[in-house]
Amino acid sequence: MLDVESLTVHYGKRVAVDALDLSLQAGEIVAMLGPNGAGKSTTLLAIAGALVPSAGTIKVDGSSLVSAPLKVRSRIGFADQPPSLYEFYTVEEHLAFVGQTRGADEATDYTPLLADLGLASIGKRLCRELSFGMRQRVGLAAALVGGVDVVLLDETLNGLDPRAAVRARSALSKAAEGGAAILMSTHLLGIAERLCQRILIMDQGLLKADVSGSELEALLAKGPGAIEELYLSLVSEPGGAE
Amino acid sequence: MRPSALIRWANLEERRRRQQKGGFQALPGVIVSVFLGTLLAVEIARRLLMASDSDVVPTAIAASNLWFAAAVCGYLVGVFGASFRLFWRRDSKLLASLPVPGRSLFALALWRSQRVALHVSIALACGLIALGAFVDWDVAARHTLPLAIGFAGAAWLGPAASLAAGAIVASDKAQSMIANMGGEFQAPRTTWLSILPGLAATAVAIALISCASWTLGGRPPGGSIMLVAGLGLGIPIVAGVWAWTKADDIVPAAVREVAALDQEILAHIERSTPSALERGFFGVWLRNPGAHKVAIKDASLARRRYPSPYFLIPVGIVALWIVAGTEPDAYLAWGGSILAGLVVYALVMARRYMVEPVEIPSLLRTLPISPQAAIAAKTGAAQLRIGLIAALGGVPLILRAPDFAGTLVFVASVTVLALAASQAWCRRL
Repeated sequence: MLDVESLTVHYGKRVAVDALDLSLQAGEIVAMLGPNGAGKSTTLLAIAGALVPSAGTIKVDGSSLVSAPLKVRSRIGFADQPPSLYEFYTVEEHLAFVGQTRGADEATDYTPLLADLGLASIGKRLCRELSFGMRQRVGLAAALVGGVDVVLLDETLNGLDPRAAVRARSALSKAAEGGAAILMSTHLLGIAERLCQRILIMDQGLLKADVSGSELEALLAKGPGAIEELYLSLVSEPGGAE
Repeated sequence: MRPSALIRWANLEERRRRQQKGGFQALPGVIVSVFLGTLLAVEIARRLLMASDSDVVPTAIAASNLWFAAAVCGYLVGVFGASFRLFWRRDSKLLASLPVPGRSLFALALWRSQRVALHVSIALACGLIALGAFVDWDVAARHTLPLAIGFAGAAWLGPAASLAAGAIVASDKAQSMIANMGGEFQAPRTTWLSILPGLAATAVAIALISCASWTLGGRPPGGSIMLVAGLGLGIPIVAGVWAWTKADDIVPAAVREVAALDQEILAHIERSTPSALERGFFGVWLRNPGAHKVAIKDASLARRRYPSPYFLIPVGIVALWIVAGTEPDAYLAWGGSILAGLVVYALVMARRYMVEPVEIPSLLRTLPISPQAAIAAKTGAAQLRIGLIAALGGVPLILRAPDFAGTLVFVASVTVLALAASQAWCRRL
């Protein structure tokens, strides 16, 4: 579904993402872990088309982001951090706008999606009136509208109350069952353990680990804390000291 | 998404935002235009009614010059705003990741530019009614040519120049060429979003002022008003058509690049520091440590985010020196228009210091800096620019003026008004 080859992003002389190769299958939920500044957000921004990479290719179902940018972007939903919302649209209007840019019909009813995320009661409220957690959920909803095939979430599940987190996980599982590939950056190792079939660990722009299938099952079988141990063994201390 | 749908969505958001702001900003633009136009008409009428019989001709010329000064200021603001309507938008970060066609984004910017041009034209048309009623309807009718040229410049040339600038910003090849030519001096790449509209604005101003003598029955430059009309109307229309055909290729990449530059964490590394002049002025003028810190921070961010004043204001001052040195026939029309345009521009830029990304009011409220100190910093920055324009541009204009007293009064009035406006403009954070 999503193929990333040799993705490289430079900020001036600093390499934020260094020759990253990544493939996601339809229906796969993948967690991307890593310390602050590891290159997670930059990777997501580049895949979303919000940032021009220095090198590399990004394809969705064989279509390149460079040669068919509108086609590819219409199939990618992105929830950035903090969520970019139209402050003077109601929640329903914001979803309708984003959905229409992706080709959704004007008559599309977003009530079921809002209900899934526990937002049904705030559909008529302006985005500027929402709390942090609600904004996160509206950002997630906007990433899911329009029948996207790839969902990118940049720490979107952070800051949600337990009930909202359960609803968000459920909505993501439903989207994955519908065939969407989901790539999410997070610092919440518990969510990665419970929701994802694959875990990537990034550090200093490099992919340090890609754990899935039986390897992930074996890791999870070791009990709580196994992913944390793997993470700590692979990533460097902030400031560069190992 | 089709252009009409995007415009409809954008209008909904804009209407609610204006309603929320309340006051003057909540009024429909047409009403504001008619109000400002009425003020212009009243001032023109007052001058003409108070003139003695022997002063009728000079007063009519002065009234026409006042109209031209208003036209230059209004249309210049319209041309300069094109980059803000196309790239420096609040929602550029979101739009950069959505599949909105470049032509739809350009159509929205074009629609907004045309609306601004129309509002300026309505205000100026009110002034023409006074000119027609108290001077001559033929003279007023002749002023519709600069009106049309100004409209075309703000409605089409400004957006086209912004689009061309966006192409340079988003093109690594162009940036590489510029970097090779620039050598040691490397301006931030978004500078082009100001430079090209600045050149377009200069062209519009020259075209407007070129019509000045013809509107009062004199000879047009080059001897042919058709030439002025052809160039003044033709170039914006051709530029607008060119931009329309290129928008799909250029706008998405440029919006993406500008959106990324807005976020420090995502930006190409372009750190800037305040100029020596700013450091010196703030060190002397802003004794409050909080105000000083805010001013230094603002100047650092503004040099990166809004670098255009650092280029355009010196260029404008040089233009004033040229006027002072060459002493053209319409001395005050040229000098006054440039001076007023620069001051209005400085005020517009002062407003940018009050909002993101230069200022984050919610963050500021949590810091141990009083609102008064922050406001003093913003006001100080605006006053520095206005003071520089008046001292370096206005004083030479006065010293070389054929009408020393009149020019002195004009420059002093513009400066005092601008300083007062900067206080009001930067009052609420």
